[in-house]
Amino acid sequence: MARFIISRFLQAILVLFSVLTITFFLTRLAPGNPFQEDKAIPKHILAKMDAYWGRDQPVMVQYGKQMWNFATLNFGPSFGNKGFTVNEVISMAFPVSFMIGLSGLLFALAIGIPIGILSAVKRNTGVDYSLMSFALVGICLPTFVIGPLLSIAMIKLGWLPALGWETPWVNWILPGLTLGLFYGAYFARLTRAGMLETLSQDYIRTARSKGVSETRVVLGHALKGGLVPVVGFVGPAVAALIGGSFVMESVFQLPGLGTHFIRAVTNRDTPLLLGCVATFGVLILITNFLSDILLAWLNPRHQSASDA
Amino acid sequence: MPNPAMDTPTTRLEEIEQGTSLGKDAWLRLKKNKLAMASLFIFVFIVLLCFIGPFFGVQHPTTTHLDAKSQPPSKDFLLGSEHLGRDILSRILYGGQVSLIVGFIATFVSLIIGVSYGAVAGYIGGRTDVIMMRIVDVLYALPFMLIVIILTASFSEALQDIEFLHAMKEKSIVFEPDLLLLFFAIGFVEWLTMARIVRSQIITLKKQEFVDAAVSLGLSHKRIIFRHLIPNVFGSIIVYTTLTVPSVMRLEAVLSFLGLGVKPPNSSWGSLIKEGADRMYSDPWLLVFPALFFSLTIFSLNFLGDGLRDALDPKTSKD
Repeated sequence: MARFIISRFLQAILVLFSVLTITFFLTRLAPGNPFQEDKAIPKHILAKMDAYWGRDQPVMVQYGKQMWNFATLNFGPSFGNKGFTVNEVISMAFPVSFMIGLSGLLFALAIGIPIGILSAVKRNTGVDYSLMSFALVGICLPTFVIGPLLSIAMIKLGWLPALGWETPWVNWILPGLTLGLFYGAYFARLTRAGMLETLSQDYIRTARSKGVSETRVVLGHALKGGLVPVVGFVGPAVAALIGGSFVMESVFQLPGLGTHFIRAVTNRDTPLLLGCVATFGVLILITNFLSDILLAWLNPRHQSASDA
Repeated sequence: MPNPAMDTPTTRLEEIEQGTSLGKDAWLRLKKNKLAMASLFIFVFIVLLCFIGPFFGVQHPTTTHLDAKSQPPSKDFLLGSEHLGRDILSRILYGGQVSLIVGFIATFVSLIIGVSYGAVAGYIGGRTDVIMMRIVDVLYALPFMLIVIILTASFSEALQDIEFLHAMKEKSIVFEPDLLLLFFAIGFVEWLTMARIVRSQIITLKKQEFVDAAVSLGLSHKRIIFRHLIPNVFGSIIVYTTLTVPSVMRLEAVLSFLGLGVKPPNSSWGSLIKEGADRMYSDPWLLVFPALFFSLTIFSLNFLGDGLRDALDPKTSKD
């Protein structure tokens, strides 16, 4: 296990390093200058600003500096948000995105797993078919359609605030639910497939023949194996949830990190961009790491297979 | 029924290679699947509507009617008009062309990369295979959405300056240089699963006698891979391609929704949904109709892909 964890950790560092490197060179290859505004700025002033921010140095020197900044977790000042450091921007915006993403994931699991289990237990009945068609509808309706529809429903009904982040303790519900409905549909299908496979195993038949109650067979014996595909998908789901939270921020007008990220790309705000990429990257890697460990625990064969 | 053309050895070989009976079999099975057939018809209908519909007296998508702003569906504007009085039906049809073109071309790019990568890795095997698939594993862990956004947003300006693309834009209603970015940015991130599927199939295929026969005939590796192995994986490739198109279209829609993909005055279903979402309270038809077209297309492609999977019965997992 220790070897497995160490190798995964080293791999995570390598991935993070390559992502940051790709990001840095992509933004430096791209034309445009972060200080360019609609009104043309005289060349010598631009040159001075470039010099002030260290953009006149050789690219490799800048690259080294950025990497060092990353290693020391201090990303320096943001080009686009004057007067703010990247760390400040991220620490203000990240909690919003994190809450949306986390609530989305929890909603998805809470919706998807029970539906999947029920569907597997009642397989090939009306219940199964209707639940699975519901899940397929969920997969085909993108979040940027569900979100506006939920939001307009809330404007009409007035149960929850439809937009914004003025009251954070209720504002996370709608975006979280939107993401949860969408990814919950995936989880439902995965849970159903996993449960069906596990329920056909010999040890389940043994348990049944010993007279264990059906509820215990399903929830006590089969669930652990049935969840393997779900846990395997949590890693990719978190990466997708980050993209989804960008959409949610745009739909529900939330002050999250996605908005800053997109603005940083269009403004060529390299430090902020790298800061965002590093934050998202670390988040994805941590989840992948946790889900790998969880998978190894759920299914020891998986570990030896991926060790090889 | 003896067919004289069948008597020449080349056509007979061709016949065996192509395996028409397998394709016919699959088609018969697909025809029995009502859901998949309905999806196929809906999808073909939408495609025809988008590409041929505009020839039947639809307005130009960017013509404004300032005397008919934000009209609900009526005789003049079948699906309503938006805040500048542009016809929604026409914008949906031309926007659909953009969405579908991006969906197909980006999928095609990912298909080329994924199939060749997977086939080469599976065919060579050994250490090369381990390294190549390890790279795929690592790429799977990357936050793709971020890279795609960086690619599309950073290089959009650079493409505007290319003379040739500019000329193309002048000639066509739907083309804009940004589309090229979408083709490649999305294509470069969507090939991973295809590579895995093709590789695992090639590994089982390459142990079979016909490959030994090809090797002993002295055929080159390139010829064996592309003429003998890959045609045998066509089933899985078709199935997975059908399922890739909707996910590519969704990615394009998300990008356009965020204002990074297709930009105004051009439109795609994603950007139309965004415009609709911004005005959904006062003019709900702006959101409903583009969303309907988009969801129906995604829907039908997913059902069709599922149906094809059952019909062709490849031994691949859903992943």
